[in-house]
Amino acid sequence: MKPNESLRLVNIKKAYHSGGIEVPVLYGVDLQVFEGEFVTIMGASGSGKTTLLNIIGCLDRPSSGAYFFQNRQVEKLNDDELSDLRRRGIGFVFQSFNLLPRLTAGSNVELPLVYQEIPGPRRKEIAASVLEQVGLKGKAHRLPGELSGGEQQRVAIARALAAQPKMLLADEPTGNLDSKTGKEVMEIFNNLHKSGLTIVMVTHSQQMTAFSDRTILIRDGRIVEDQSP
Amino acid sequence: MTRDIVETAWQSLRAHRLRTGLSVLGIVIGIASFSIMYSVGEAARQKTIQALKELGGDILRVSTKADKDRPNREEISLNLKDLATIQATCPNVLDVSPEFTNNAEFFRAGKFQSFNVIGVLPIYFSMNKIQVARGHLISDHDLQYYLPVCLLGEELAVELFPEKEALGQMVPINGYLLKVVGIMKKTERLAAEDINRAALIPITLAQRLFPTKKIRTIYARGKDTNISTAELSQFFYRRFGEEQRFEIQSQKLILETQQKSIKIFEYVLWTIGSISLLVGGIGIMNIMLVSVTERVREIGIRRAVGATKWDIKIQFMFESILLCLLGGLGGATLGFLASRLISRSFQFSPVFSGKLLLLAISIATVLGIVCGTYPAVRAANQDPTIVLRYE
Repeated sequence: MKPNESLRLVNIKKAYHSGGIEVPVLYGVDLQVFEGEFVTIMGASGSGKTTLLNIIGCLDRPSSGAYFFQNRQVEKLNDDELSDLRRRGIGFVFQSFNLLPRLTAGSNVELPLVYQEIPGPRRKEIAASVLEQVGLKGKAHRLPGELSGGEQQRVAIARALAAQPKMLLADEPTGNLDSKTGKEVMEIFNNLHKSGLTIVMVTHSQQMTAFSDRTILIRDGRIVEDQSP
Repeated sequence: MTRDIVETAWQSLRAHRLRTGLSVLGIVIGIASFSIMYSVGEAARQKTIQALKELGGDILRVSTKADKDRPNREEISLNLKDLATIQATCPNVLDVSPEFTNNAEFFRAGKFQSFNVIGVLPIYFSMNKIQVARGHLISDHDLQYYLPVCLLGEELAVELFPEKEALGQMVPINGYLLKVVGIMKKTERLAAEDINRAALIPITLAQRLFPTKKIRTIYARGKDTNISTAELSQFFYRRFGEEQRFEIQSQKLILETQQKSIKIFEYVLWTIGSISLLVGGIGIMNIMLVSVTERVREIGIRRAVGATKWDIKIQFMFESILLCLLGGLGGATLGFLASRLISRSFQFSPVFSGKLLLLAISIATVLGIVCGTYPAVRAANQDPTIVLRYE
């Protein structure tokens, strides 16, 4: 039986306007990702991979083409509907962690749940359970500044998981970590993948591709390679 | 959700305590001005109304005045015989009472202090609603025999005899010793001399103690103030042959003049308040715009995890409202303290009601909404893709 489709990009083009000049970044990207897949998108800086991630993450709309996420046509959604899609469908993990420095680890994890209007006590329960899942049991009251880089990234992963997303979107998740903690983080990704979560990860490092079952190479705004090991 | 918004806003303001404090200063001053304007203005108005009620608006104060065209010319004056003439020729005037004011000095703490010595007839007490706290008033008998007696105002009594009971003591006035026969109750009389800091003595005695006998102020009470005024004018015209050398004021008129100065005081505070609120509001807007610029990444993160533009807008809007509310409460407190201080020196109690606090809160809230809207819209329209930019 063929697995369900998670997302599909059809001839996605994206151009930015800079000082009256149109700067094309994506020249027509076609991509299909199935549920449960772990896809790595590789590319040098300036290749358009961040732009592609913005579009996949519903943070930005394509200039043309069609994008289906969970069988909904994303480019036709309004801003609030995009927010709703991110809130329930996508968990983000960033290179620079992007935790709010004034909130405790627990409150950071609760953040997506606040916007889902889940009541406080229930949020705390969920936060405690996902923090435990990433190995940070009992550290909910710490501020990000009191945690190591690896721990901060694990808080960020917990935050991404809190809303039980359909897909995890990671942008260079180990880029700010040393190789040992990076490996620990990738181990968490691996476990999530095994439990059935769809993961799309962007990286420029060849080593990271070892964890995923499919690697896509993007160059100059086009997909130039798509291979399963 | 609401609690989260409140907490987020509060945390953000707490994180920049100094900045928060400085940025609400304009609002604090503005709201304080309005509070003072309201509480002191209202209290002063109530006091004048009260004074009018106590004295009655039917008393006229007639005083002679200098000739504007010939400033060196001596002022006209009256004597006791004139008073009898007024009673005889002005049928509408029921009572006439002179106020014969001079100065005396006493030596205290290394310097001379002066106080008013007012020569009066017994009718003065009933017309001005003067009562004694202790002792008794000056009587016709005292007047007839030029007895060396005096009444002291409450404040003067304490000044002259700080350590003992003034009643029964001797007070030196212009070289003569006068016995204190009574201490007057404090009065709220607004019109003329401050009798709380004066000595009242029989007018007959006063005209002997002081080198002059000239009476320059009289009080008259009539059935109808308009008719009394006309009759008194006629008398003065007959007596001196000129107008413009005396003025007749009703207590009502004097109080109206005071009302006018209250109004001016209120306008000044209103202007200060409005300008402060305007400038303060611009300050709030500015600090909110700075806050938005500083927090583009935070906004991006919140948007990425699912916040809508509306969520972001509400968050910043509430922060602005909270900022203004802090200013409003600070201003109301400052206004309250300032009003009490001002009132203490003017001897009336300030009006400070819940209505005023409610008004301060409303003004602050409206200001918070007005000044927060543009920064909040700017915050909501920040590009969320910033989260994928690495710095």
